[in-house]
Amino acid sequence: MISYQNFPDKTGHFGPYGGKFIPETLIPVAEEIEQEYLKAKEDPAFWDEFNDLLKNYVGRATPLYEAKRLSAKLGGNRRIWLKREDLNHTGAHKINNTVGQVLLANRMGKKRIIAETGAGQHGVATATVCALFGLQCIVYMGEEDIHRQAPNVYRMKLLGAEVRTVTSGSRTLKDATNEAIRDWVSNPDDTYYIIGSVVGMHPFPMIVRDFQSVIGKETIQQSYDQIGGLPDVVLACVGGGSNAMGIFYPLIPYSDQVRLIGVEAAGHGIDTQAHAATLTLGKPGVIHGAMTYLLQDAAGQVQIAHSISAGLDYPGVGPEHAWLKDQKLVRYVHATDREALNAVTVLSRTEGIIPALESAHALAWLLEHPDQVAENTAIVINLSGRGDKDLGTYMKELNL
Amino acid sequence: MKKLEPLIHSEKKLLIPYITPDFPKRGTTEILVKELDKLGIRAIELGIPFSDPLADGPTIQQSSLKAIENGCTLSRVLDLASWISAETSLAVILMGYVNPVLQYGTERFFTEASEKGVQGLIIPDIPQDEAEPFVHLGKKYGIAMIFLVAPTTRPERIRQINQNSTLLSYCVSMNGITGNQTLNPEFLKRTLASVDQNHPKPYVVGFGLSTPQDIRTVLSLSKGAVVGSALIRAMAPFDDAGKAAAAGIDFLKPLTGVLNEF
Repeated sequence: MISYQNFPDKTGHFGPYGGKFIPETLIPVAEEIEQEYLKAKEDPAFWDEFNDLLKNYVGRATPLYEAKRLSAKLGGNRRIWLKREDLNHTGAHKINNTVGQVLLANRMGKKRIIAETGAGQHGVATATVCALFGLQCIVYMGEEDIHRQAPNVYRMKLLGAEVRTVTSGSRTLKDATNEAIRDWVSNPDDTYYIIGSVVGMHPFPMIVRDFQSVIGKETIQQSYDQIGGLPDVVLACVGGGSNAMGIFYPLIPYSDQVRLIGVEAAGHGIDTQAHAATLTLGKPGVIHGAMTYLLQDAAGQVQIAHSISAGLDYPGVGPEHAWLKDQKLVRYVHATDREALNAVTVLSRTEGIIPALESAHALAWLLEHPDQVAENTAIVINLSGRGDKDLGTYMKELNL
Repeated sequence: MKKLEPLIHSEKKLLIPYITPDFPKRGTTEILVKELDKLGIRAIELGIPFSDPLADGPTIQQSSLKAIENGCTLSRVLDLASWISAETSLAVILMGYVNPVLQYGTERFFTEASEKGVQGLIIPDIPQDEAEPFVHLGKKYGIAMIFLVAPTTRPERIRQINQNSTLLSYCVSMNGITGNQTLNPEFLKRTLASVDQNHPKPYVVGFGLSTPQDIRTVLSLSKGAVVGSALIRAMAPFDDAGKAAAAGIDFLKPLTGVLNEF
């Protein structure tokens, strides 16, 4: 029997997905990171430092919180627990990955760190760990996102990072990632690229997943303690897919008992051109060095994704998600901008928790489709981030 | 490979312009290649426009987007290649990213490219790790697969690349993207020396070449020089196909002059 936790294979593939579709200049650099990571993985001192930082700096373990008023609203004795990644330092799950990768960069002696960011959460999380370790930090961010996420731009600058405006292509996350990769091609010797999601060329999808899988490991432990066993359903939003991989991955061996559901951004609706539902409507193709599902036209040009949430506004998706979809181990669904905004209001008013727009998509699907989950079940939603960064959007979109 | 092979085996050095097709206007490429033929150019790289060209700087990115806007699909590129092969003596090497090829259908692409006289293929986001199907199809359809060697490439890998490349390899002159930096001759010398020690192969060198002196440096060290972004920059300001092509030729003339020195 295949163990789905044993992927990627030695060449960095998840079945037909993943791989290293990158310029030759980067091949030795990607190999060097892979070798260093495989060494670090076997080094207890590496994990001691990682876990110490997650505990004392990030504030882990994050709570698994039973949202009783929200559950009552959903009805049918469906009990909802929230995995509170929003309570992490810097306000989202992104920092789990940046802590791990900055430790890897330190082991490799790299002094210059680059990153891409969409919503700015990964940029802030990268700027934060660079400040912590005294490293130079350059964050590429699309011009459009810089306008949408002004507070995070300021946070990065306050933390000492340089934010470089990306004006090419769609001026969002896709092109910020292109520019970060171009910087890396130009500076392969001294630069470490902290990629922000389970996307891009091997070994990044594996490394980011492994660092994020602390979410799923804690969730399993906390579920036994608080629910009395594994949950019946686990929901997470999927853009690039790092918070979802983080909570799903340790649960993959239990996928016959636990339904894993990833929620993509449907933007204005999947019957329009303005969405980011890559796994739902995309076709296999190559973006940012990986074979994966991709929003593209018939000629293979990458299409511009749309979501009200800058963190989900991405035309690709992590290659492991593509593989999990094809293997039917995870079900991928979608929620629109409007549905997500409604979920923001609902969660704020039932539980006193203002979620990030990204995370609200996971709840939104559940609120729209309660009948898709049986009664008398335990549901965990990965609340991947808090809503502070989205207040500008909420003020504009929610008429209170 | 009938047209390309004798060029590689001859003593003569090559200057290879990279052309974004249908840029800045439809009709430009046809005029340009006719003139190139007269100028003594023997081979060109014809781009396959892609929305997200990872190894390219802003000049080629923007020209590619413009070409896409002008309706330049892969099937249009193949038709152009066919026309160029019939109407000129130029050897056509296609250069583009893998995704449009995958969506077209890789084997369908090789079949048609071969029928239309395409001599070689460069795909910068297909390193050795993903190269197997392309090496196989290149052999099957008689299209030279030209793989990239970079300054960061280690010796054992250079050997592998040169074994898989047909006729020649493409040496990237620097760590960087196209069109952004200026050529550093010392760096290039070191790179080519390391590359040469490990399985010699004819090389063309590209990235960052724009002046006659750059071409002179490169041709003194290798088989050929590729010039792309600088040519596109020269053509970009013109809204008229004829004028854009003429500007391209004016730019290339002093560079082709260097060929007579060898």
